[in-house]
Amino acid sequence: MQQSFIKLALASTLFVAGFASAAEIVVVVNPKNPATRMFSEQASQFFLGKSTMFVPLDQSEKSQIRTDFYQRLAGKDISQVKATWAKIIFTGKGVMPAEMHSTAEVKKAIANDINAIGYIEKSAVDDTVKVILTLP
Amino acid sequence: MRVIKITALATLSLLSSSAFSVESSFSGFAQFTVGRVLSGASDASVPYQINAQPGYSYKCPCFTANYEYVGLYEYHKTQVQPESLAGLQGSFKFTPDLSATVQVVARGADSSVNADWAYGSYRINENLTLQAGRKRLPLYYYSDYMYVGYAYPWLRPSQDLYAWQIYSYDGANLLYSNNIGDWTYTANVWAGRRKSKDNQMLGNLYYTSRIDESWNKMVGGYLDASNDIFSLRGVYMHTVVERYSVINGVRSPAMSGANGQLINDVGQAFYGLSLNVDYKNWLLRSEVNYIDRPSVKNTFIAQSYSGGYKFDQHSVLLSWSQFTEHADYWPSGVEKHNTTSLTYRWDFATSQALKVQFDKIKDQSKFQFTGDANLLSASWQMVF
Repeated sequence: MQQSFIKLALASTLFVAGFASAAEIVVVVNPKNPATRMFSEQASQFFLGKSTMFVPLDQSEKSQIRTDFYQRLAGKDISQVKATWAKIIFTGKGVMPAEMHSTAEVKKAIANDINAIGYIEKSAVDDTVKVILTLP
Repeated sequence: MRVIKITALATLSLLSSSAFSVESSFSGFAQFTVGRVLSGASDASVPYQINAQPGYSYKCPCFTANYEYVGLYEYHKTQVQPESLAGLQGSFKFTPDLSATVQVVARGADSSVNADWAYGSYRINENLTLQAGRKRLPLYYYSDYMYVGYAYPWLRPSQDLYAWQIYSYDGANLLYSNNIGDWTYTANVWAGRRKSKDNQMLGNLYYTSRIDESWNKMVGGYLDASNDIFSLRGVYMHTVVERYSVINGVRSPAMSGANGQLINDVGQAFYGLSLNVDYKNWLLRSEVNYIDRPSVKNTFIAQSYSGGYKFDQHSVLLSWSQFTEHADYWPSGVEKHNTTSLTYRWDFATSQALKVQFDKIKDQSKFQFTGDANLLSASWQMVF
């Protein structure tokens, strides 16, 4: 009985883990933003400080979605992203994206700023945001 | 690197109705570095002493880990002060287009706190920014952030390059940036000057007296093109060098001319090219510089090449660099050295890295300089 419980727990953990890593991440903007679709290369310009046309919003530093996002968007790990921003900040060319503490906060900030750009789980999309890029 | 935003840090009332707010953000960087010259060799009997202006002498063979402030590891001494440092940067936004940036750095190598950055920026449009004040001279690829170790792969950029007595300027610059496709183009032109009284590198390492150095009539520019894989950069600067030795308050020219006479106002041109590649787990860094002082037939070539591999949080990098001086008027006094380095970087936590580097410098200078030295150093580098 106990053994089968452990097996079940293990199976469900694996299932959840598998599901979580496969969860799609979407890049979103304010519905009033004229942008309609974007390639990864374009989106990465905002999140890696190469363009200031849109205002990027980050998820919490410790969150899994942040790690997955930069890996899928630009093939970079968190320390590479940090090093990229350190270069931008300490040459006076920009400041780091504001850190949001949850997907709900990202959505709220996007609703309040037509130039904001963020990333959330696809399952969290509603009519307060517009999807311009899906990262499978 | 958490950015602390204090919106409306200062809210001043302008006239009666309009309010004026300053949005400020602070970020910082630090490194704690320890190093030791494990072994060395020289034509002189080891150890030997090299002397600069009164109060400055070094037990060598030794390793100059930083020329700008003369952070130098002496023979068989375990030292932390040559390279340990902490910096703080504040950015103050007065309007969406008008801002000021100040960066101060405290170093173990000298007791004062230095500001290499203190300038105001005005954003003319989406692509153009005008800045005025003090900035670091962007001669080398990593000049702008050579004290932010976290942002580059080595423990320190090769000191066969990144080693000029003047490293900042007072003046104005125009910065252009644009994205075309997946390429980002950045261009910068600047004009200014820099006076350095009691210059640290010249007085504390090269000369036996205090040196006042000025780089006048500086004009320069760089062009940088980069995408996710490549980064290409070319730079040019021309300046007029003025140098005085100061002995008992008496100033006299300190540079040599054709027949050994002492002269001033020597024109100097700086050319640089660099190519960096980051492809999958591989990284390549290269930089070549040519410096020409035609009126005294004195040239310098500095070059650096590195190749490395990154696997998860670990990376290793092998580097070779060289500095070569040619001087028609003082062939027996030229400086020449090369360095082979092996670097290990471990990104053990967010915003923090541990680096360990072994450097083997071979000193082929025609005068008695720092000698052949093997340096082992370790550094904890962070941004916040």
